[in-house]
Amino acid sequence: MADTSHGRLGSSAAGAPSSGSALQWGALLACIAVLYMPTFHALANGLWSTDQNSHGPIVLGVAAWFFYFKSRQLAAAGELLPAPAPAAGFVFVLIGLVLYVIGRSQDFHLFEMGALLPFIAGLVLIFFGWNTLRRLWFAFFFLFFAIPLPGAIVDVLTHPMKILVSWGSEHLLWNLGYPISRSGVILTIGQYQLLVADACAGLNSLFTLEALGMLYLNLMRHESAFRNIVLAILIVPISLTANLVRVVVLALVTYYFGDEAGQGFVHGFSGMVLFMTALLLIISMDGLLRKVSKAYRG
Amino acid sequence: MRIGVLKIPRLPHLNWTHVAAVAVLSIGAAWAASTLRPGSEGQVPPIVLEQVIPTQFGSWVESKSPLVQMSLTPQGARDDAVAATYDAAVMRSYVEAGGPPVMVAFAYGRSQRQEGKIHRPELCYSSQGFKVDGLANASLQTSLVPAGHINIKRLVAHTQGRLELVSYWIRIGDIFSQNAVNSRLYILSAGLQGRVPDGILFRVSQIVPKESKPEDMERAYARQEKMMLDMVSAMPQSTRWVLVGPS
Repeated sequence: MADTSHGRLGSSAAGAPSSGSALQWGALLACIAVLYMPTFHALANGLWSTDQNSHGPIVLGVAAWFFYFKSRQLAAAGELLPAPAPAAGFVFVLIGLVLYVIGRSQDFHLFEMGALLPFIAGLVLIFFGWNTLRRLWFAFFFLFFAIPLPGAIVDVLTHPMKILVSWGSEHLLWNLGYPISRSGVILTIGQYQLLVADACAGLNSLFTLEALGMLYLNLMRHESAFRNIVLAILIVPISLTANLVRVVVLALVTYYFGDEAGQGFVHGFSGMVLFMTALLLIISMDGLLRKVSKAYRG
Repeated sequence: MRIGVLKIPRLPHLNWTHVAAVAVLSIGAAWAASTLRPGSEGQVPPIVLEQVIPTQFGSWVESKSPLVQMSLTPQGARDDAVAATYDAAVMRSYVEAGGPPVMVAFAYGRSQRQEGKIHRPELCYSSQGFKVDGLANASLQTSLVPAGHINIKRLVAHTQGRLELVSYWIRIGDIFSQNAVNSRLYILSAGLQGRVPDGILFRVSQIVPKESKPEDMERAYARQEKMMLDMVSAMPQSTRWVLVGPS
């Protein structure tokens, strides 16, 4: 079985040089590069360098890796059976390119990056067909998180989260006996004022965490749908908690070591605290859920 | 047998015609995108906002006020956030005999694109601990613009100690936008025609007593909105466009 499927994959089962296919794949990668090199360059100097969207390249990189990982996995399992659907594929590619042209020419990142989804889906359809596209759904889902949402939507969705995180930090530190007060999303601790910025309670960090959490689930290949769904939902409060931990740590650093240390922490280390906290919470929640579901079964 | 499976699978062979078609389409799209990008010739000329806004007009005169105004970005009173968003920002207070001072804020951006547009005041107020109520559309009748009226917004911002009535308009290119979708579509269609519109926020507000009755509030709104129009009328034709767009 393994042998025959391997034969289907190569350009020839006898192992003739496949420089032709390498050229073809190279050409397709070059297409993506021609379209997206200017975009990535612009994003690297703009949006991605802001606190709000610094997760963009990470998510994109992981998505690219996941495409590679998943298609290799499919190929190795002999499940990459080409059944091209070029007509549908070219429709997808065209939709993607129209979005791209509007987005790229008008600096509309939602369209520009969003175009990647139909474009790559179209390529998969043209060369491999619906079945393979379905097998890759998770990679597309993950790629979705790399699309920067428009500022207005982010602002509206982020605002209640910022208020919640500020409120939580205020109450936690107040109960620990720190001189803290809050007005909206501005915390005053001792002589210092902290603004709970978008980055500190961001939808984007929620998205990144949700994406990484889903990746964790997908790689773990949990059998139980219950555990997957519960964990996916739990990532929302986990992300809020992680953000709260970050804000509290930031407030304490500022309180004890001054404004400069606080700002240094913000730029250097606070993202790390956030992700470590979230990862720890996700893994321990997962462990807990495993015990719970085992207990119910046994 | 098994060893073959563990190796990296060879790249599948693809249909050459389809690869070529994808390449042609992609290069076409990249070319179209760079052609449709509006260049710098699509921009309006730069202005010095400080000098354009009159310090005295009608019954109003600028005063140095100790009142702290609401910041122009949701990030609060940080100069770097304001500087990153706008090309120019001006905040002033004006007084006239027999009434509380009116706070005025302008935020000007020479090129309005999909990213980096003017922030709507309701977000700035609520980010900084104000509760925002009564956000409503309104319309000012005036012969200052060809359309005969200017679309504005009103809102009430309050905290425990302060009740502030806010009126503002946002002009982008030659429209007065009352919501973000409206702005985006306008900027998109202008951009595809090779134009980069400019944009300005013109915000006025005053602090009124907490126990103000609805009719008092209505009078306060009318007062500050009349002031907006008075200010525009007092400006010479050559600079009026900054606030109300090309006539």
